[in-house]
Amino acid sequence: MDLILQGISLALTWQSLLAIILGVAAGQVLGAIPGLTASMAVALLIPYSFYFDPWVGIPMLLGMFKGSLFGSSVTAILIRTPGTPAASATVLDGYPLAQQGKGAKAIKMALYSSVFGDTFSDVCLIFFASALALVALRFGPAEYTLLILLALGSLGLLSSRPVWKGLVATLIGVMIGIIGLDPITATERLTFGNPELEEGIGLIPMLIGFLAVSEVFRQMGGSNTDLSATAIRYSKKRDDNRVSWFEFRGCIPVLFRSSAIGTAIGAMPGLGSTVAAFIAYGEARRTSKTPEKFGKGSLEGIAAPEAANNAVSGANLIPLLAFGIPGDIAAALILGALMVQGVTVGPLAFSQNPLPIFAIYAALILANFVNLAIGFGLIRVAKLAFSIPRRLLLASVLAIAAAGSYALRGSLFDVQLVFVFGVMGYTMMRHGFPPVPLLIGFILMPLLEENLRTVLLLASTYDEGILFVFKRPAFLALLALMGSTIALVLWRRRRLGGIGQAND
Amino acid sequence: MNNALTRREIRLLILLFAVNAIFYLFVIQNGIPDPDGFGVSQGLPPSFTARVTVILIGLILAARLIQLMLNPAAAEVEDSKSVSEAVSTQSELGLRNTAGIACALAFAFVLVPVIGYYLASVIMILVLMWVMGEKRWHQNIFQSAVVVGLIWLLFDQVFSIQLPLGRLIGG
Repeated sequence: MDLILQGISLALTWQSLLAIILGVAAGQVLGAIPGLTASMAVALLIPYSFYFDPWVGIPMLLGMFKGSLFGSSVTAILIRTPGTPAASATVLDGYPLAQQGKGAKAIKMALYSSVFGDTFSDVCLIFFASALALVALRFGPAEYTLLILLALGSLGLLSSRPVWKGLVATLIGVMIGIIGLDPITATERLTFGNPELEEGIGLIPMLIGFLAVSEVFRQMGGSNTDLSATAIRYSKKRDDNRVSWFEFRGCIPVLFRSSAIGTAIGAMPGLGSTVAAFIAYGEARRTSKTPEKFGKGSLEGIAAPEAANNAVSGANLIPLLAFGIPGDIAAALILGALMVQGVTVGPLAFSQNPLPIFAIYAALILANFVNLAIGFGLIRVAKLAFSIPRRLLLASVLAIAAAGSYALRGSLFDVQLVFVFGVMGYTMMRHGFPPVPLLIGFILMPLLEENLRTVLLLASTYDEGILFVFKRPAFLALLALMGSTIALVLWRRRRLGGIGQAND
Repeated sequence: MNNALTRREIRLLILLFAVNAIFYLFVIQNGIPDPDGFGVSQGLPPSFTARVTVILIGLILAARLIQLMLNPAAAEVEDSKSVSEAVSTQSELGLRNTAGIACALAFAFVLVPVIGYYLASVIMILVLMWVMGEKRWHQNIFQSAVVVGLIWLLFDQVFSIQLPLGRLIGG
């Protein structure tokens, strides 16, 4: 107990509190800028953190990581431009709500959900780090393949009506994801000799092009009155600018489910917060009592991706703290910062020197409360920043989109891609094809292909071939879980159908 | 109207089917060279995912086409909302959208590579504001300069990210 208190006291000095406040504030602002991802925000701050005491520098990094995830949802909601890829699923219901004058309500829901997801995964990290990490490490390529296939299929089916357009859009996304070098043979695929395409298409140009630029092209056709009005209109009704307890209470089951999904995905290295957000969104829509409201401004549709993508941030630290294995790039950067500061993590740290681990736990929880407090400030700043005329905002979004897409890889080609994808997205929108399944297909394709091909390579080393997957307990458990979920959905549909017929 | 919608969708499906077939027969064939003798035991040939994807798209399009031909009424009920939305969006496509898209493409493909990001952005914002109905040039110049100035401050001064200067200025 003494050790725990000593560890916590390391992170509860005024200096570390100030560092968390600065980190969260900087993270929220950086996260709101398209093209600057959470990992980029952490990378930008790392050099400065070395000038400080470890228990000032590390809390600042953790705060920045958490802040950037919420910050990215503000622009996603208000101008359909996710600051980071993790917030792209938040666009689906956040933007329609902002269009109805309920932008403040949507951002507040995103803020509460972010803090909820963060706290949930931090609690899981504190109490179940070792156990969760052990389970997560049993997941191999076969389990990943199964998980991604299910996510791809269900999201493609659920995210649009008519279904065929959603499925075709998903597969077009998969096809765009193929462009680049083959992961196993390094053969060029659909590059046609263009060296810029060898690295593949970047996620940031895809997201900004299909979501933000296409929307700008669409809105340009508005009337003069619309275009000269304030960019974001806020309703004057009090209820449209806040999340009531009744509304929040209605989202609690979604928050728990999505946070659990985010935590589970975060504990598995490689999948990341964008995947978690989309899977949680699909799951929330599937289990919702009002699925027809999704895509039109449902609060559940904001709560699910926000809770999930933030839950990933804490859970990413599970394999990091338990085994010293970073779950994603941001966790790897944090590991680098810890190592330079002389802080050891991994299995031995729990038994030999647990003080830093407890200090990290305290800093994580503290950062959540700071994120909540500073988040309200960001909402006010965003209200002011977007009170400009719509036509100026639309033109500025194109300029910012170009700068953001260039920032990540320093490639002029990425800037051009943003506008090509913008035209593609606009054309698809005009023909009723939803852009989001396309993005999901693009995000999941490399993961699916890499894991599937690894499974096949592994299968060639077994006598029983591909059937070796059925000898893996984790695969069987996942298969049983998925089978029971599908059975439950079918049963629920049949039951609802029966009730509908009885009512008729 | 419903018949028109069905015909329109059938035309779209046939067009997509043709594009898909061209993609399978020519683009994948020439764009993804499979190494000789590369098979499943080596972890699937590089063109595998592309081929499966195109085949799946073809199957989905064919299924929808058959569904429309066998039972057009049922298909229209399912599709009416999105198609009517698409049609209403399509009718909005006017000179303003076309000019805006042309301006944005000129910005990305001509202006930024030649005169650099900052100057190109000022011109693009200026022109787009004019296209969107703001005819007061002095205000347009002021607002576009302020926006680009803020972007310069943030990217260049705060994050030390140098945006492209273009062939004329950057050499």
